[in-house]
Amino acid sequence: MPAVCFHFKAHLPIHFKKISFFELGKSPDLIDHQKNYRHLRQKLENIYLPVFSMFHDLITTTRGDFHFSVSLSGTLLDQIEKHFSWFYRDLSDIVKLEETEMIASTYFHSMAYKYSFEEFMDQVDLHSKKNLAISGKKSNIFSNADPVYESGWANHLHDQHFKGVFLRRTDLGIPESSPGFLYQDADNERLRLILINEMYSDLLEDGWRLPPKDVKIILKKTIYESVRDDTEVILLQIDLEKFGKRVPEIKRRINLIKQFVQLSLESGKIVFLKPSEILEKLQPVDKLTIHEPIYPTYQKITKTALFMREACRYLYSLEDKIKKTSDKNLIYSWRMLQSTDHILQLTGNENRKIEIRSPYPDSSTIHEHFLNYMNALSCIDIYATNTKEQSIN
Amino acid sequence: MLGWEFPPAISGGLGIAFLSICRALAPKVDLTVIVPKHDKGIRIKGAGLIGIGNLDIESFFEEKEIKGLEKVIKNKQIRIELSPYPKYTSLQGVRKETRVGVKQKPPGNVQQLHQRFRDSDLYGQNVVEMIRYYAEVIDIIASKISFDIIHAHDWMTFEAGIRLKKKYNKPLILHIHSLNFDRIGPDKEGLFYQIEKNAFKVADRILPVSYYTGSIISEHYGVNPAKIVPVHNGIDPVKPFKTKKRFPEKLILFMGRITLQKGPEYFLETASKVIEKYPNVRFAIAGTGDQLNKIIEEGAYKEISHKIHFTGFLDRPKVHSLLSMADIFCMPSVSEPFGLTALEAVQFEIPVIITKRSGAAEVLPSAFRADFWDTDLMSKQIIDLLKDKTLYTRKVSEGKSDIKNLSWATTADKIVAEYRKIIP
Repeated sequence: MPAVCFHFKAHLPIHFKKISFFELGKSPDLIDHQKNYRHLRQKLENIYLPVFSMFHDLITTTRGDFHFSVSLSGTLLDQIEKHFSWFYRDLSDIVKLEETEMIASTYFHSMAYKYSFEEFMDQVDLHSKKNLAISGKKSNIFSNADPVYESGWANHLHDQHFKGVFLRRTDLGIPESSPGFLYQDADNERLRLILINEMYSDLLEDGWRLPPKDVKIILKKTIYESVRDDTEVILLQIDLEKFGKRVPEIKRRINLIKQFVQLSLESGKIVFLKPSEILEKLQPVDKLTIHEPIYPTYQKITKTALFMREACRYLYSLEDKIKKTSDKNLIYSWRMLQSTDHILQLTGNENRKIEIRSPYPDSSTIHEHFLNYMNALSCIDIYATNTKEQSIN
Repeated sequence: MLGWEFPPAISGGLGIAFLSICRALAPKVDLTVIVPKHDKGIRIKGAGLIGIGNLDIESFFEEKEIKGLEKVIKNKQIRIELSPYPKYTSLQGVRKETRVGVKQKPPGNVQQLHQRFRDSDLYGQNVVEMIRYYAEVIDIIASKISFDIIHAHDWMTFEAGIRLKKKYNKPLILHIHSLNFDRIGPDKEGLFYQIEKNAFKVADRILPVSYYTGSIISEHYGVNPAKIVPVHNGIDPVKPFKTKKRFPEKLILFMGRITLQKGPEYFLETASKVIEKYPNVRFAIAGTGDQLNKIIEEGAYKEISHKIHFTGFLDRPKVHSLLSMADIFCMPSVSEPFGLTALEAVQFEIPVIITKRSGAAEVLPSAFRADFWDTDLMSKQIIDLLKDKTLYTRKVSEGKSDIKNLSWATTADKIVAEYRKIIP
């Protein structure tokens, strides 16, 4: 019987202040706290509360048959803990349940793997610790922010006690329609690999657009009735940031997931398992090696790779300097600047007048975003210099 | 006195110089200043100040005059997207200007066009339309006041000046703060060039802000040098102060519109060469303009973006604040009629590096000079100043001495002398 493994992930982009030239080096605090509070409250009311309520409902109504995994970025957890401690406690209660499992990623939803492996592993470790603190359980599974994976990381991840990794089929050239199995990494056979089924994940993310009467039929035909007999595992990744802004839309998405779970369980053809349970119950069918993963976000980069390259060159050149200060706030700010919220906005084409979603105010073009980002970096760079000089004095 | 830029509508040196000249002239002559609009709080002591946008159409104009103005709307709707002085005041401004420009509808009546003098910026899509309306209104205003000389500043006011000269047979003096040649170069003789050239023909006297600009008027516009009398700008006294920077690096400053004329790409090239040999520096680019994005990209390409800071457009207090932090001022303009900012930098006791093709070079003989394209020399001059404290101190001292006798009162005296020559 095929096992469906749900992975709900969320990362809330943090809003930053605009740092002017005259403010460079003034403070390592780059966050616009008020704006973040408002943004988080809106997300909480519209998405996180209904979704966690859905988790609760599904666990209750299925009498423990619905198992799933969750990955919440470290920055999101910090924001929730800071502004909405009551929800942090509720969230903690849910992820402590047997039916749930927390997946580790990079704490700051970063792309550090591309520029500094040491920093990448530090962030994975930080996130694991955060997960342990909130759920009381050690994270056994790793899923990168993109989620890009390379076999070269296998030994390092295994050394950090990871047993499995989520990765995309596109990195392996495996078609979406082919059956899903558990694999093992050729570089470290003890590390298991579970492939995300993007086709079915997209269907669940977009199926809410269908008329309600069609949803049932489509779900049956497209997912559990069409699953090939030899399929062993279907990993469905649902990104909560793509749940939309409008409440009716979000409600319909949630209803769709609920319907899918209920129909699947009623059919008796599918079980819902946590990733760790899949690792325990299934045997790997083959060994896989990924040495040249495809970076989907970067495929379309043309000239503006220039901005991303320049920003990341400066960002990671500061690593030693920032870490040596041992200033927690400064290191936190530097790490937040590694977030994909900043970096991926630098990858558009500057010749097109595209609107971007910058974490900075009044910053809707790629050039404006680049300047604001470089100013934020300069701000912490100068602050680090001054911190170092003060400690010498 | 006919002017275009006036507070609060100021995008560069023109508005500042015009206001300073008016203030310095007011005690010496009977002066009436006419501008498109003015800040209600602004006065010029001893002079009359008329802002067209500030006038109430119904009470100021007679019915037949309004009908005359309506003909301007009906017959002379020339819509042209040219901007002699890019008006961008912020990064956001660049974006807004583009959008508003597309949506802007032509005025349907006098009230609507008149309203534009109150609301909108002075440049952009409808600048020629506004110039013609400005000339028509000034014609009406002139019929209600007495005057002996028409003194017009830069091409936007030339049509009005010529019109008054022809109608009232009064001498016309043209004051040149910037030429089409400076802004666009010698190869593009468009509408603005023709407006300037025609005006130079009919003018009785041309007062460029430098000998350098005078030579361009003579050589590139074919004007008899006898008509050209350069009058250098002055400078308002300031009390210089120093602000401690938060960073230990030396700060090299570029201040001006980010346009081809001001040579920001040469500044960047110079910066790149300095950083290679003397990394303990940062560069600030203050201002904005149509070349901004290109310069940002170029900085990223050269991998020096972490050393280049863009401040955007700055108001006067911020300009002074920045000058108080800077260690060296570099003005690599391709063609600079005067360059008031260089003088301001000298006031703040900063050594300046200016290009040979600038009016400022005539009043700052001690400043380091270079050809705008000679980034090797400019980078060497910067490094020399950074390494040699004695040289640095000497340049500061010589700069102060250079500007000791510069004032707007002196500028006004020279202008009055020309008035007297025309009307003995």
